[in-house]
Amino acid sequence: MNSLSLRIFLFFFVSSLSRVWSLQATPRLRSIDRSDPIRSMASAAATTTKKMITLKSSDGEEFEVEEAVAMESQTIRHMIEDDCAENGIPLPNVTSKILSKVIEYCKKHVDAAAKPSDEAGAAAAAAAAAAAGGGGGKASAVPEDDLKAWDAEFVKVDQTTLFDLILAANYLNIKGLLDLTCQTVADMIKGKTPEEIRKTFNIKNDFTPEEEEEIRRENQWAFE
Amino acid sequence: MASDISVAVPSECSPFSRSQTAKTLATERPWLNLYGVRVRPVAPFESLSGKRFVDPALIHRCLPDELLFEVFTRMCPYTLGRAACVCRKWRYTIRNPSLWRSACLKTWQMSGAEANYKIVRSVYDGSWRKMWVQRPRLRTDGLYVSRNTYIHTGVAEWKVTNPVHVVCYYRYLRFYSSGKFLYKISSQRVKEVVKCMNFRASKADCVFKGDSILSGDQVEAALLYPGLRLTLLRMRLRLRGTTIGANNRLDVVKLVTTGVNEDDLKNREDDVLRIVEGWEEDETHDPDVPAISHRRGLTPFVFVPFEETETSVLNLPVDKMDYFVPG
Repeated sequence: MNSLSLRIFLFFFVSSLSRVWSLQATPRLRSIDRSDPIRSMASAAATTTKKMITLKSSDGEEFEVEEAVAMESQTIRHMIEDDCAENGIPLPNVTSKILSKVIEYCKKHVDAAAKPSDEAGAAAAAAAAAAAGGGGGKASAVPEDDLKAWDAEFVKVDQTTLFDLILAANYLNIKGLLDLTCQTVADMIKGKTPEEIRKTFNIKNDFTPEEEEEIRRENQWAFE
Repeated sequence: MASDISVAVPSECSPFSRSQTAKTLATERPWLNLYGVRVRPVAPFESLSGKRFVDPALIHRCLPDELLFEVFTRMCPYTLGRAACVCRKWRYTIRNPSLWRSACLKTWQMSGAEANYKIVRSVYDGSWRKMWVQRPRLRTDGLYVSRNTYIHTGVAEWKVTNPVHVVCYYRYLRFYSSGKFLYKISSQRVKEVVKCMNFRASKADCVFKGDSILSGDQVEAALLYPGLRLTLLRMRLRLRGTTIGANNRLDVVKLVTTGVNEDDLKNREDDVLRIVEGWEEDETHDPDVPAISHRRGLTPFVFVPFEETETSVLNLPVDKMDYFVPG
């Protein structure tokens, strides 16, 4: 049952968000009946008990999350598929502070992906095709902008946390979070002169005056 | 300073090590190899005192090089150029050719990927960065603005003793990597026009869409004015820059308005340039609209990046700016 609901979540996640994920059908899931996902989802929703995964941060704190949320991370996903996740997953490179933020991100994105599918399922079950088309269309348009706004708020953190988030996203292999955080840093660099960039990131200018001049000449085209 | 090296010969002197000991007993002066080699000056390094060099920058302490590179892949090439001037680490990371390769392939996508690979190998020694800097490209991160003025004699009135006005109007061009461009001619300043120079502009904004093609440093552009009397505007421009790679000036070689008829329009498939392919200078297909090669209003276009649209000198009124932007 858990793997069934997981399959449905992933199915709608792929169809409603335009982000590219590398999804591989696992042996466990191939036996699912693909003919009528909406009806089987409705029946699954009634009886589902979500499987919880325990994640252990480097400072010993334990976080219980739904399997679907944990599967946002490709690293954790591979561990679950290889059956290494029975006693919880230790993450020695991630502190509890960062892990809680990462979980918050994954949860928000899984929920955002699930919501349009919920509304589409309910409308289809009401047997009104026009309502399903209109309801489904509306539900998927608004969360996109809301999600973007939520993402923008999510990365309004100090530099330390931001860099730790990049490291965590890289270690846990969460493409969406990596894109978001790297883009934030890129936007911090954009539009600034080299001196301003140095000030923002407290970088020491280790060029000698001759080197500085040479570099400036080489890249003069970027300043004109 | 260093005298001849003498090494105590080890007691277990096997035949193998005999040649090695012979070598170590001979005088070695490795510094002699440095004569004639230009050694780059190295910034003062504190490790001589035994203390480890601690980088004050948080970003360098936290992020490994691959993740710094990931950040750089999400920046536009002009930001990359500026970031290369920040510190040695960044300069070295930005030298990575894959960054410049993706920039080149995106900018010159109209030539096609295969042609670009051929060009970089034959003309630019396989260096994508060299191709980016040296090959003429139309900049897409701002507007090309041409500021034209003319004298307009007004009516001498009771109190007005100076009936001569300097009228100022602008031509705006915005290019896209897909080969399309937007054109607007208006008396509005740069900072007002920049808001409507995009594909979402309404009809009231008078922004016209056309197609352009870049061959070497020559730009051929054509757009169709909508309306009853179909007028087509053809432009031939030459791309140059105030410094190598800047590509921030467009000289007007020719500006021709000509007429088209219904048949011409039927053949084109969304490419305005194809209509006028092979036409003569004074050719027109609509007898009501003569082909005019304009002689006035041909000031060179100056590039204004989007970040500078608010602060550009081109925003100043005529009395404060009656000179042309140099270069």
